[in-house]
Amino acid sequence: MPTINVNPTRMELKKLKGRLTTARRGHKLLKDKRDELMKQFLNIVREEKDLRASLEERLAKVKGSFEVAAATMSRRVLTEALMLPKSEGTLTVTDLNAMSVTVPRFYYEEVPRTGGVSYGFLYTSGELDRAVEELSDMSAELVRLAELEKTAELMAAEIERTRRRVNALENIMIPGYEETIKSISMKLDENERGNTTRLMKVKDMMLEAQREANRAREADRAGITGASV
Amino acid sequence: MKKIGIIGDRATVSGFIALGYTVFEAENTADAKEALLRLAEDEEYAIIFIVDRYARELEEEINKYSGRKAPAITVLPDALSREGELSFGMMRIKRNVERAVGADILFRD
Repeated sequence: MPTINVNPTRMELKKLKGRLTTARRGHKLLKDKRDELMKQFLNIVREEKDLRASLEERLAKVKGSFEVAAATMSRRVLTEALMLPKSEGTLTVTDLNAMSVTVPRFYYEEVPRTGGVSYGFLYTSGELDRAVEELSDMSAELVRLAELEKTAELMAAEIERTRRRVNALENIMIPGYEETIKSISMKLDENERGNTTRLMKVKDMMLEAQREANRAREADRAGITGASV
Repeated sequence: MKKIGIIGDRATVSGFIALGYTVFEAENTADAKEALLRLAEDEEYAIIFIVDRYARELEEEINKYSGRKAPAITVLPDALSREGELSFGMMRIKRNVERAVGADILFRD
């Protein structure tokens, strides 16, 4: 693991230690966020899958009914019959914050127009009535499907982003800090030891010098007394 | 109040007029693409459904909007997923799971 290129000083060491604590805390928070996002995401995706599967089957049936209707009626009459909406749904969109991901929430409210289909029964086939009825039953679920799908998409992107951040912290930033802190404190210790030995050496030298001086003084004194005798 | 748009071939989507959806009939992929881009840029539309057949071909365009909050472009569940062969809408769910989890854990059985 490459260390960060900084001066091996006590200042830098202190700064790095602070950064390491922050990185560790961030890593833990992001990991928790990722886990919670994943939990919610899986619930949404499971619901989405089941809903889609059931809608696929129901829509296939509706399609069949429509085909039968189209076969028994002229194209003009069919177009005419479907021209007016049976019901007018109102769709309102609000934002929901799910784990810092802003997702849309759709509220669909169906307002029936005339309390039934909006065409006369005379020229249209019964299959058409059934198909339109079935479709309008599915309406709310289709909106729910769109909501789930968008939510899942946005959450997947956020999970990916969070996971990348967690990995970067875990595998690169935190080990880098640790390594650098280790190398700086080793260098500082080494300096400390160097200093101590230097001091000891200097002290030795000073003691030696003093001893030398003492010896010289003794010799001098001996010389003086010897001369006087 | 927002609108719901639906793009697809006449046979599939004409019934949705009765629900009050704004229906865009497209007889080929080029028409569908044009309608999709127009609807996606129109802020009036919160949800855009597109039939399975065209969605398959317009995946790139759909993906451009998947990161945005609006509009929600959803593949209409008008194709059946059978054993071993998923509809395009199901495929998208599967891919989404793979992207988030790193492995497909929904369809693996």
